[in-house]
Amino acid sequence: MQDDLPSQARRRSLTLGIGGLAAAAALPAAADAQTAGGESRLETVTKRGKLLVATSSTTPPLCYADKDGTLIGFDIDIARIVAKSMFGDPEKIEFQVVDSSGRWPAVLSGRADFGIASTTIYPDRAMRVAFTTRYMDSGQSVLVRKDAMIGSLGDLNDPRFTVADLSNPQMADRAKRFFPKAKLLTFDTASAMMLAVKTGQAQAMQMDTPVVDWYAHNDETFKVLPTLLGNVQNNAIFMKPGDFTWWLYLDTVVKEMRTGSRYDEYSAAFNKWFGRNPPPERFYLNA
Amino acid sequence: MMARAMPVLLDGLAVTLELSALAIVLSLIWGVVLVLGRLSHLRPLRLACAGYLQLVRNTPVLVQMYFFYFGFAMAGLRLSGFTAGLLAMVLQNGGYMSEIYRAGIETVGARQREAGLALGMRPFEAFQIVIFPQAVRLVLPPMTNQFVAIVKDTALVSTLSVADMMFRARLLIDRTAAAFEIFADLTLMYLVLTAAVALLMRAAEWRLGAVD
Repeated sequence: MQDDLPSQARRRSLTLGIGGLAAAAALPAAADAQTAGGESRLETVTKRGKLLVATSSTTPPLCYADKDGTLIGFDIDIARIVAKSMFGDPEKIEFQVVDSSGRWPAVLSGRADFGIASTTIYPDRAMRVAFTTRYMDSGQSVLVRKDAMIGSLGDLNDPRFTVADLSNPQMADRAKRFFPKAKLLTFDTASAMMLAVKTGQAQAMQMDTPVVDWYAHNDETFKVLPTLLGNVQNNAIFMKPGDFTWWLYLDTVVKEMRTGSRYDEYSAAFNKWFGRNPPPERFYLNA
Repeated sequence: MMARAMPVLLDGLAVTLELSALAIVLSLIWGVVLVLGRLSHLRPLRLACAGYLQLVRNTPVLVQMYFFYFGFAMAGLRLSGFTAGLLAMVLQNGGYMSEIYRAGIETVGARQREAGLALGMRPFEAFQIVIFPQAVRLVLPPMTNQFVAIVKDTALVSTLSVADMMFRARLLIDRTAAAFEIFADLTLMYLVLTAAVALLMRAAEWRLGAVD
C-alpha cells in the first residue's frame, strides 16, 4: 500500500500536467463557448454572488492603493456602485490588479467579469473589447517638472526634452503629432512614468488629465500644461465582447449613474475624488 | 495574428540577444574577479566578497534595476534603461558565477593541489594543469542553467523602456488586445533562444569531454 503511494502520486501529477496543458490550449475556445452555450455572464455573476473586476493599482486618483494597500479611487467607487446595484452590498467584489497591457487578457480570458482601469475608449480597442457608455470624461494632459521651464506644448517639442509615455499605441501616436522632436521613454504604469519625471529620467509625461492633475496637486515640483492633447475623451467600463445581456446590464447601470437612479451615489463619488459636481448631463437634473 | 506579430517581435529579438550576450560575457568576467577575492588569503577581501554576494543574491534583480535606473538618476547620474538593466544583471549573475566557479574549484579539492605542489609544480601551474581542466567540466552544467536564467531575466528590462521582445509584445497586445496569440509567439521565441543556449553549452561539454 505504502509502496504504491509515490507512483500513484506521480501518475496523478502527470495526468494533471497533461490536463493543464490541454486546458491552457483550450482556454480561448472554452471562454467563447461560455457565452455561446447560452448562459450570460449576468447569470454567472448572480450565482457566484460577487463581482470579479480587473483594475489598476497605480493610477491615482482613479484606481490606486492607499498606505495599507487597500484599493481606492473613483474607478473603485464606480465598481462598488455596480456591486451595490447587483447585490445590495458594495463589498461583494473582488479586485484583480493588472497593468496597462494586462487589462485586455484579464477580461478576454474570462478571469474578470469586467475591467475598470482609467480606460479610454478608442475605436481600435473597441474591435477587441466591448465598452459601456462613458462613466466620466477624460482627456490627455502633459505633466512637466517646473524646473524644466516648459510653458507650452510648443516648448516641449524639442530634442532637449524626454517625455514619458505609457505602453499603448495611442500615446505613441499623440507623441508623433504634438511633440515629434522630443525623445520618448515608455513604461507600463503611470507610477513608473511619474517616477521617471520625478528622478529626471524624463522632463514631462503625458497621461489622462485626472491622473496628472492629481500628481501636480500632490507634488509642487510638478505642473500641468494648460492645453489638452487633442479633445475631450471618454473613460468606460470594458468587457469581453459577445455577451449582449451582460453588456446591456453594465451599460444600463452606467447610464443610471450618470442620469438616473444611481446619480446621487455617482455624484457623491465624483465630489469625493474631484471636488466638484459631475458635468451636467441634463440641464434639469438636480445637482 | 501570430504571423503578423512575428516581425515586430523579431525587431525586439536583436535587443534581447545583445543584452543577453553582454550580460553573459560580463558576468563570466565579473565572476572570475569575485571568486579570486573569495579564495584570497586576505581576510577583509574574502569577507567583502561574501558580503557582496549576500547583498546581490538576496535582493530581486528587478529592484536592483529600478535602483540603478531611478535611484542613480535622482543623484544626477542618468543611466539608460539598457545600461541600468545590464548593470543589475551583471552584478547579480557575476555573483552566481563566482559561486559556480568556487564550487568547481573546491570539488576538485585541495589534496590534488597539494599533490601537484609535491610533484614540484608552482601554485599557478598546479591550478593550470591539475585543477582548472577538471573544474571546467564540473562547472559547465550549472553554468548552462545560469545562462538560461540570464536570457529569461532580460525580459525585466522592458519595464525600463528598453524595446526588447517583451516590450514589443506588450505594445502589440495593447494595440490589438490579442494577448493569447502574442504571448504564444513570445513564449516560442524565448524557448528557441534558451534551447539554442543549452545546445551550445552541450556542444561545449562534448568538446571538453565532460560527457562520458
